[in-house]
Amino acid sequence: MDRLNEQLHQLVTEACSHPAGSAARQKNLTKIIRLITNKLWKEYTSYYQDALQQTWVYFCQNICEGNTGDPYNPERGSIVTWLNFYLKRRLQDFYLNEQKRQTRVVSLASESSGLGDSEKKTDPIENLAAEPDVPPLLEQVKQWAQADPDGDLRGTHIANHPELTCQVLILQRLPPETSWKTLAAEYNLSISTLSSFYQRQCLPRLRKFGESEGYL
Amino acid sequence: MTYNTDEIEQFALPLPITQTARQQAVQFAREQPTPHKAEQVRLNTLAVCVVNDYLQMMGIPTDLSVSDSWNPVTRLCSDVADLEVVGVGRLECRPVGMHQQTCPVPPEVWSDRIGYVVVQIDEAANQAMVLGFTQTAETEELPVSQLQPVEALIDRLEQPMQSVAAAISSVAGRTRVHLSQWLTNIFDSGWQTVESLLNPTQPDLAFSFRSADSLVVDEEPAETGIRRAKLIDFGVQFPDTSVVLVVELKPTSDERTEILLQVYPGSDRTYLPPLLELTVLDESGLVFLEAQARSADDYLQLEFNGLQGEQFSVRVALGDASFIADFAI
Repeated sequence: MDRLNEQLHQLVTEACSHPAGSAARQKNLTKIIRLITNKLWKEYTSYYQDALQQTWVYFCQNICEGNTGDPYNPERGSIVTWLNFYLKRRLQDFYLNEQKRQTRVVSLASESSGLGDSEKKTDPIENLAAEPDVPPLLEQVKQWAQADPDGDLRGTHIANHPELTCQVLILQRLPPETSWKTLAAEYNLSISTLSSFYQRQCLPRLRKFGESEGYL
Repeated sequence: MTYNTDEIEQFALPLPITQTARQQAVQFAREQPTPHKAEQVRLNTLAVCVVNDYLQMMGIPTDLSVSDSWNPVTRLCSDVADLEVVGVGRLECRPVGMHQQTCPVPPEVWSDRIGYVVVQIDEAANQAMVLGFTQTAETEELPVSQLQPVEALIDRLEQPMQSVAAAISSVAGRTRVHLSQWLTNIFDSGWQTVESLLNPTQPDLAFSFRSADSLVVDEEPAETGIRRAKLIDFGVQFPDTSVVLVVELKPTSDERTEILLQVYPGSDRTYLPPLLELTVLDESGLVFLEAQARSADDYLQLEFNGLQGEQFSVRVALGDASFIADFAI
């Protein structure tokens, strides 16, 4: 543990000798994360990783300067101890939150469905309301591509290949998509020519369609 | 600074896969029409979230709202796992399974990326390992051994323009070469006579416009076209590798001009460097024609014709290094 602490001490000194947000600082912090990941407190709860992510952010923010909390003070203990303290507090917050939520959800379930099976694990995703009856996105994109109201998709094609339009490629690449390999063989063009055209001309149009239809 | 498979464990960066990420991934996956597409989207989303979380730790701002991986339509229509890094560009975050030697990279993400991060997903442990980073990936299977440690990503995000600028060996601030001027004997600097750059005894120089039905032997220059050549040096990244790009014009009877592009080895070498690429791009930057040198090619050639005024670019590339020249007919 001493050699580790020695290494950590050097990395922290190095990291903090560079300005916050600098590449040198970021690289050194990354090295520290790599070194101490396996030394931190571990538990097998569903929210552990979220607590750990928060802990890493806290680490980066406060190891040199105290941006969101008290800066790390080597005299008070090792970095691992410092972070474990923070991590366990976050885990406790998640635990208490989970307790409150489970109480709420279980009581709702038992009220509405009359099920007395308290061992049934309630997964919040399962309780999401089903979406209203709209045609799936695939259908909407297909219809838009086929209709091509202003002829833009039909009018954009690979140079010297008027038959290879955005309309054609978009329809072929909708799931279940025709592979690039098959398309290349069919049209006698390289995969990179086809995919480059798709990326540069077709995707921007799809992107705009997605934005304009309010899907975001 | 790449590393071998054994060293991966030393350089990989372990990061948590949060419940937030897992839920987001499942939600996006549920929107997909086929099981195959759903699984693809689920893993892509996990990879993007992991990298996004890492950049958040590093204090590097990102914008998911303009990423294609976060746009339901582009997500449906391509195998995309991009993450917009504010002020830099799109970073592709590719997921890979445990114990894989290569990472699949779909063709529709080969362009328009500042680089590629490979993220190994360990679902049993809800942990991801960022295996590494590479700037280019024009291959469907990227060997993990070719990756650089994630520190290379930090460097790339800090200095976006430097690495790109270093690759181009031509004059910064490209000017467009107007080929019509060549017909009146006006040549831009840097474009020299073929003879001044190439050994005239090189056999293939004897042949100019090679068409399907005839070989035109370059005995009478007036019968063929106007030719000029430029020396391209990949010296910085590939020492001792220079090639000569020859551009030849031949106006035909209507308003079209035939253009012949050839790339020869420079420095008295016999063969072109393998994998050297010659590409013609059209006005919008799309690949129009391309050729690639194999292991013992003595030259590359592309031929096409265009109308007066049409614009195109010629790219000669070797690995990460590329030279581009813009032309107008």
